[in-house]
Amino acid sequence: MAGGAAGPLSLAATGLSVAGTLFQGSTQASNALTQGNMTGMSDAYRASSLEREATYGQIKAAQTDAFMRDSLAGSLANIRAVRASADASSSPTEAAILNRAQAVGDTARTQKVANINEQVQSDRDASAFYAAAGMSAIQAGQRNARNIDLASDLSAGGQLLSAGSQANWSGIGSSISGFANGLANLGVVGQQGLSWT
Amino acid sequence: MKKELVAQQSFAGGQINKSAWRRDDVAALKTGSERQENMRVSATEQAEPRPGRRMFCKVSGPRNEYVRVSGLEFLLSFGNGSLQIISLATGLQVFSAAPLAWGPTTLAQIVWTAADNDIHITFPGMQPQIARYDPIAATWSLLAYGFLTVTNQVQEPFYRFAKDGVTVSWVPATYTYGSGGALGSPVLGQTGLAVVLSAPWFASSMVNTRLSILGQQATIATVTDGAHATVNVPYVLPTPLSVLVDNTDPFVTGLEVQLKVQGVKGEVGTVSKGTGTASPGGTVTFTVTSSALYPGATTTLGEQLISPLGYANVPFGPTVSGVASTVQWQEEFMSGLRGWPSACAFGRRRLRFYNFPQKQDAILWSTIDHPDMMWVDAVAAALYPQAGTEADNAFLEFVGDDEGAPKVLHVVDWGDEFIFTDRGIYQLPISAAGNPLKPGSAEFRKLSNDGVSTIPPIVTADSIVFINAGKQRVSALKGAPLSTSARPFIVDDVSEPHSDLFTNPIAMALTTGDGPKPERYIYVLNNDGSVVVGKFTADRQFVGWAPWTSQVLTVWVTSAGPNVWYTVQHGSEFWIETEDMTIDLDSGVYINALPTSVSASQPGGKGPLWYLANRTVALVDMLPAGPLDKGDYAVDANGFLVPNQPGEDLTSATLYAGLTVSVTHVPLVPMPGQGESTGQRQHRRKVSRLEVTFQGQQAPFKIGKREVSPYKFGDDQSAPATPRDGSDFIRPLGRAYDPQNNAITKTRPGPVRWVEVSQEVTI
Repeated sequence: MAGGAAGPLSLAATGLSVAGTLFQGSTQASNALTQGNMTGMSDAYRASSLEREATYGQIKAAQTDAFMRDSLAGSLANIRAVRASADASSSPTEAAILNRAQAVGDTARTQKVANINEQVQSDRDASAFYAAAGMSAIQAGQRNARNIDLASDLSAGGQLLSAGSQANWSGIGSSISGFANGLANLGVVGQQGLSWT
Repeated sequence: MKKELVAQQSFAGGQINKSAWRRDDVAALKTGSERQENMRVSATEQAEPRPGRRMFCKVSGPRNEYVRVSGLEFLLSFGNGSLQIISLATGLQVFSAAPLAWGPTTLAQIVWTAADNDIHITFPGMQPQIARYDPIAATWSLLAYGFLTVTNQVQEPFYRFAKDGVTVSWVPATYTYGSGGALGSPVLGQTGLAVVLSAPWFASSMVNTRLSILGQQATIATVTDGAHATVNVPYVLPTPLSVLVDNTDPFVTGLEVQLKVQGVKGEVGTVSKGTGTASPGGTVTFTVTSSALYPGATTTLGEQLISPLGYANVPFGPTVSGVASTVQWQEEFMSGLRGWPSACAFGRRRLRFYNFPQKQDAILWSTIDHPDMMWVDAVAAALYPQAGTEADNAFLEFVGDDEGAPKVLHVVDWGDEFIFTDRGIYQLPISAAGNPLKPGSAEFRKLSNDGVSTIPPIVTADSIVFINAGKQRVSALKGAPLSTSARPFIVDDVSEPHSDLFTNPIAMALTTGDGPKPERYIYVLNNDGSVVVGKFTADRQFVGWAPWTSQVLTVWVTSAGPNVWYTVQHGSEFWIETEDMTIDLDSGVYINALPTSVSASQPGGKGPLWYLANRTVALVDMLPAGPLDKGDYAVDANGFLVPNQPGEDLTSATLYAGLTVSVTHVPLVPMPGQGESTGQRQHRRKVSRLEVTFQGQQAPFKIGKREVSPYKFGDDQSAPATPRDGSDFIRPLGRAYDPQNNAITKTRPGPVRWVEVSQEVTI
């Protein structure tokens, strides 16, 4: 006779062990899912912030452009006013100074606006990266959760089979049945999931 | 009967206008004279004969000017279309050049200035000339003034003479294209590039003159008609870009536009609306002004074309196409076509040109230390700051005046710069630290509305002296007293009671009092050859002017430090005579020791006084004890002295011959104060006694008709008189409202100093 008949306590112990494994797997899967979701949300938040900064940057660029154009116009007008007060007529030198001041002002404005726009572009790029990274993190969390679930299920199955091999096969049905009842009583796993009989 | 006793101890008032003889309230009259001819007033205001003039050298022209170059002294002699340079060290010619633009009647219009080893010479209608001294070779040369060329850019000023709005158009240079539609290298240098004006302006006389088209220089090669010409371009003219826009409303020909993202700037040439007028979109063609580095016909997200009137979206990248055109083109400011400057001056390490016929209120300053660099191009300056915006660059300014453009005649350095014009005097403030002279710093503060003559002003220690536009008076620009410090400078007339003396002056000169005599004198030469001399006295508010006359015609006067050089005319020849304190004879020489500078011009077979042939001269033996007057001698037709006595020995090396100078002093007869009971103001008056006190007398003079001899009774009159101090008097006869029979005269050479003239006046 292969092995002795398992007692009711032994079967219950096996059932509890399997239930514990399944429960642990479920918990770990839930954690992985949560972690993925949190990372994803964090990245999404950063992406959103960067996008907002890019939008502000765009506005800043437009404002800087407008302000520096106004400021340059004011500077040029001031040059004219100073020279008129000095009784200096409109002359080639005045035109040269105005043109030069305008060119320098334009260069400064263009550079400043270009720098801001570079930052805007950089923020936009980073935002897109974080948005993608967040999605990736959520998907990774889901994948992890599924894998952990599967791993725990397999582990539980392994434990059942191991217990069965040590008991007589005739008693296995009642053992599994008892295990299933135990699980049902614990409410961890529904009857359907393990109704192998 | 009450008598007035008046004494004149100062002669600083000079010769007073006849019309002012009764203006006892005028300060100058208290020390002035009715007549004060050929008298020099000393530092302590006593009177003595004016200095004589010694023959120096013959020159080719009537206008002669002192100049110091490279530490050496020269005379510039401007003649009829000629320039001669004389070494002052030798009195001999070192350079001459002809023909030049001026003539015998226009010599006074020459303006020159020394800058380092160059003498810049301007004259109306003439391209400025440079007389250049080479200190290594010790030689002179004459060359036309020209602008330096740096990397195909001629360093000259440009100005828009054509009316605003006229565009110039051209088909751009061929480009090679790189990958992606980006422009590659332009083809540099084009000849015969056709340019078209929107309104006629070209003239055949413009061939070989330069244009600045958007800051690029082009030389006109041919002119077909008023609107068509071809030009040679050493670099490349800017290219046109055409862009599609969704709105053409903000764009008008001539406006400056910019592609917002690409940054390319340009000037709108043409605007064409798209077909179907419901849409405001269309094509704008603009000529690139900011840079030739166009990034290519790439579409740029968010690109906009911005103008001062608004903006439009640019959905596609611009393309190089169309005809380039611009309103931003100029001509060279000074040229044979537009005119050359009539005046120049050097100062603050800059050469200045002014008195331009094309723009009479303009002043052009050169780049520091580079008189040949005057690049002022308003359009080029946007890309090239050295085109007239950097601190050491050239600049071109117009003197502003709400009453109209003044004609700039003189620019004078005196701490600040002072601009003298035909309509007023302007101060250009300069501060080495806070407001250096540079592009944009020019300020023209009007100090006075006095018009100024073309005679160059002269700078004294405490004023700038100038002659007014009407040439009747001499004025001085000087610092105001502290109590009126709100106006830092004032203009004073310094010749008011003497205006009769000034009859169309042509030149001024100044002595600084650094020589044997400490006084500062100003010399004004009238065009009739008379010289008016004024002594500046620091503690008096007036200048005592008096005439210095001569038997020879004076045609110019120049000075340096304490030295004065007169240009005089002997026959048809012009001679330089130097002022000589030792003896009061004009055109004098040691007849037996002619200086080389004089003998060099002596014709063969002629005597030492050939330039005074057939005239009478005074002969003086210049002995160590003093001058011994030998009397008058005739000069024969060949210039030899005719002995007064047969066999007379006239071979001594100390014998000095020259033309006598007639000294005359007629003191004013001051009126008694108003309200006096003597009634002298209402009656003919009589100078009952005229007494003259003198010092150091070695020559005779007369009081009225009475001769006062330097010799006392029994003195050896064959030897120089011992300098004598004394006093003598006469009792003139006759009465007059303004007595003039009280003259003091001197016609013989030799020193004397009059220290007091006292008069007893009655009715």
